[in-house]
Amino acid sequence: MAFKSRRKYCYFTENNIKEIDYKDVKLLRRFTNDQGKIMPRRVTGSCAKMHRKLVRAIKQSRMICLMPFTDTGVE
Amino acid sequence: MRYYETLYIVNPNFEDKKVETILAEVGGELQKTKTKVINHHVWGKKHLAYPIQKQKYGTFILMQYGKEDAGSLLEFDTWMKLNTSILRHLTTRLESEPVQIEAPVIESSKKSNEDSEASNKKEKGTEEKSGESEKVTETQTESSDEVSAEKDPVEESIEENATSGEAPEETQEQEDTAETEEADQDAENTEKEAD
Repeated sequence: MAFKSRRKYCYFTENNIKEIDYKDVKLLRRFTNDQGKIMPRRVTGSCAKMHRKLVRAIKQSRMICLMPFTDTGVE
Repeated sequence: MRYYETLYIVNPNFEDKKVETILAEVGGELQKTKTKVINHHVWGKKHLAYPIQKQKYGTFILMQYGKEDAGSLLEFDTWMKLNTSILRHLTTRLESEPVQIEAPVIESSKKSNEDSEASNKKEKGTEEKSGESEKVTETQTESSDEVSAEKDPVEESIEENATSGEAPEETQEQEDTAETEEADQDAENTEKEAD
């Protein structure tokens, strides 16, 4: 099996995003899976500094009910 | 001067008048702690990610304010907790001074005489801004049909106001996100294969 190596990069440093807003659900959704779990850094490729901020934002967003703690797809 | 932001959820079944009284109440309570309210407006009715007190929807209200002295907001926080009409609230500290989006709602609700004038001003403001932000909304609908379909018209209008100042940047970001989403998905796939 031949794997084509892809460059992983931090989305935030690449787009020059310094602060992550917990109200920006559209952005935060990209870093959670379908279940609503936060994706690991080895998958998203985001740098450690921004990942910490991202995790904080996602957890704040969960507290104020903008994002789910768990999303099983059943309403 | 430190700047804070409080987002709180109110029961969606409340009428507009009741929401206005809550806005006034919260604003009044906050002014006891020597704060200057910069923004205080209704975000609109949104679907909650999970039910709170058996409510599936909630009216979101955003409030941004500055505080001159270094006293804590603990009293205000407990007051918010004890207020039964507020389902949930979250206070965060802002790094920089927030931009004033529209005329503060609290002043208009305090004086009933100025109500009509203030609402007229708001309408004018939204009309002016909507012209600028048409381009943004068009690109949004094109790039993300799914997301925009879920949104309420009220919420969209608020987002328009918020993003009108940064229209060109937004469009670029949209394109970038589309590209990076693909890249992320590919990265996931490769991860799975590797496992």
